[in-house]
Amino acid sequence: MTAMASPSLSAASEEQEIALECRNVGKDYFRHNGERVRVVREVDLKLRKGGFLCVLGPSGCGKTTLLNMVAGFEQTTEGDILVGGKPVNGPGPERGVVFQSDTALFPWLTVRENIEYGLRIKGISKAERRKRADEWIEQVGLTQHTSKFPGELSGGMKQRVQIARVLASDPEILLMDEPFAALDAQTRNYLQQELSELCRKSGKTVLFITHDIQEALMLADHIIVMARAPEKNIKAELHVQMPYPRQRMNETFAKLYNRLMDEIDNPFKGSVRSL
Amino acid sequence: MSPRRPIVRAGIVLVPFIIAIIVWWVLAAMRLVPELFLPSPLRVWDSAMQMLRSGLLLESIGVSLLRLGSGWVLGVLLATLAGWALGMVDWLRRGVQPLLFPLRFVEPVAWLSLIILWFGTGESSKLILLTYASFFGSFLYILTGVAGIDETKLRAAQALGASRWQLFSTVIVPSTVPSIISGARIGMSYSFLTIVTAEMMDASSGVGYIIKYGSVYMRMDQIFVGTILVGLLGIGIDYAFRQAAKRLGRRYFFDHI
Amino acid sequence: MKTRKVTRWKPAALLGSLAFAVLWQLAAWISGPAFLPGPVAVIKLFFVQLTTPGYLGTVLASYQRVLVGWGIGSLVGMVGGILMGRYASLGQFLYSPIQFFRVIPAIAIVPILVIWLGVGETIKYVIIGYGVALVVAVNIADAVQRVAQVRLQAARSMGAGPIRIFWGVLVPSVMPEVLKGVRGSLAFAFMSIVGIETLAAQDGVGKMIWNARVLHQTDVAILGIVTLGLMGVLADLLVQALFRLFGYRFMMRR
Repeated sequence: MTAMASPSLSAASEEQEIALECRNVGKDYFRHNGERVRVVREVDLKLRKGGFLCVLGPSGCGKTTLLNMVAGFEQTTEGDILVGGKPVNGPGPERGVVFQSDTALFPWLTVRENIEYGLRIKGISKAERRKRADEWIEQVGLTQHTSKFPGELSGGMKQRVQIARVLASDPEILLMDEPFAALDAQTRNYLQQELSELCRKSGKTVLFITHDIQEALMLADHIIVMARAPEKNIKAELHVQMPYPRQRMNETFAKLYNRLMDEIDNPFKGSVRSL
Repeated sequence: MSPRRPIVRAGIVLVPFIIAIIVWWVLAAMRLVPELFLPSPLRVWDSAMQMLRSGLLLESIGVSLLRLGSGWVLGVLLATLAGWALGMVDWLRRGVQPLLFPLRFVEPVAWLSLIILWFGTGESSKLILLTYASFFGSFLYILTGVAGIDETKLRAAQALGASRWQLFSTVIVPSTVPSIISGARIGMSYSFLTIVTAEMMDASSGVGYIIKYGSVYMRMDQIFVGTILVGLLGIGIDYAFRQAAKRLGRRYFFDHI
Repeated sequence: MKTRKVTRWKPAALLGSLAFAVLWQLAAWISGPAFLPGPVAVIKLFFVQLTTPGYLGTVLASYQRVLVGWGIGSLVGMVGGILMGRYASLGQFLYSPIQFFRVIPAIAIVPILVIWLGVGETIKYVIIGYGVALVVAVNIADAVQRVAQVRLQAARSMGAGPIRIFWGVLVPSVMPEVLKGVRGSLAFAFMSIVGIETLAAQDGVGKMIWNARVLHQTDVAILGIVTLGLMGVLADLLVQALFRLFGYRFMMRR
């Protein structure tokens, strides 16, 4: 098993189609006292069609803001975001979003109704809607729970519903904002494996935000490390060429893990006295 | 409260009231207090029966409930529509909300004086007052619900392609159902407070009027009948409301998932 | 939960108030000052009245009733609520009577109390305090029961006894709810003042509003309503200032 890690910038090969491109994207916020804070700075990235890009970074580095801008929930202060060659202008169904918070589900709709939601918005007929929803329900293993309400499901099941809901409306690109961060380790493992498999089977393009190095190494073929201000926003870039399904407990994985660990800074580094 | 067998629960509910009635009975029977101050339970019962036979009792209840019901329906309807409108238009909500704050301290019945000056003492004045009372009670509540709609849900719907109108009908409306139901209940309690006060202040019919009539002629037994009637009506309305809400809105009552 | 699209509060509120005043003035011009006096006329009346002892006395009489009733009610409600939350059996015993009395408008008892106690100030405090106490007690009892068990366990594991846990952990833990409930119940204290004053008082803002009807003084009735609103807002600001001074550490959630 050979693994290569090349820290080169914009390494996506030109002959492949680009699904998402960020050109010099920046975002400012204003504090209560009117002070201007730059949360996202000079982000350039390209994501090829069918690729799986992980944005890895500590909390507060602006990675969720970046995803929100790609999703169209927030506007960029500078730079352009292109999806399928067209500039992003507000949210749209060609970009499916899976949120970290399970409140994104509609608690008054059953599992099936939640998954049908995007299709209902598109005006697809009831029979067709149901057929497609049931396929996805089966894909994520929720067949037993179709007519339950989200409030009756566990955290892992709720995230499965979110994933199925997004995939059912067949977006060009999936935007995932730490979707597994609130789950227990076991469930997180299962869902990572399943997501990885689902994405390879369907050839979906994914932009995945996480602060978990292992998660990034399990899923991504391309990792971007983001850092907090005042450092440069994109700190390092890494192509992961391990074959799927991946395993954690081998040397290559451990090497990459340690490298990424060094890249992500610990703000308390040096402040704890060793005994 | 912890789940218990219904019969035990009914017992716990009733015990304090049974104690109160016994104390009342003993006080009245031992003539510790003059009859004028505390009529015996029997006396009050007789008085109630007399009013029932003359038709006064049922007529008063009917009149009050009719006023209450029509004003309440109108008020909650208006409050719901206004709440949704403000939920859709953020700048309007922020312009209106601070204006409403001082109104929290103005008892709805304070408007009665003005309403009478403007519209006379007829039934329409009472309808207007009660519509306001129920609007006042429910609107503040619905507005909090509207202001608290989960941003993530709105974003999820938008990312699945929902238009502005679809956002309204599939997220804003169902998200606000719990606060509308709670708001309607609060509107009901304000309406009830207002109708009783208004009938005691200025009316010639209704349950509040029974109390007022009794106090004008110093008939303590009638005052007791009226007061107990108000209590029973209040409880009955609230109970009916809770039962109805439970049946209607089950799927909307997962507070947050 | 995140907040929605950011519209600035202060300009929006200012604009809203301005729009409201303009609409009101327009309506006043159309209908004539006898039917609906405009905001300018009411403000003028306010300043004229402010110099008369009658108006100030009226306001102070109502203020005293509301604030004393509110204070007594809050205190009773606080103590009752903490006890009901702490001793579950007491809470269960009192639960249904409290629910019962909550749906009964206190104003209905006024005639009985007038015969028993006369038309003095006491019954005003009782009626106002009654509504406040019930609301505060229910909220606080609920808050006491929702205090995180882990926090109590943490205190116990560090060696705190029951009395220390009660005063040092339980009571401070429910302080945010207490402050919120006490502030919120201020509005409840205002909810029966007009009724009581019309039924059983010789003075006060409620009486002033009600008498305006007989003399066809639309402007006085409106001034009364505005006065009530201002009294409430002023009291609320005062309460908030006091909380900020003395209760800042309790305003933090968690």
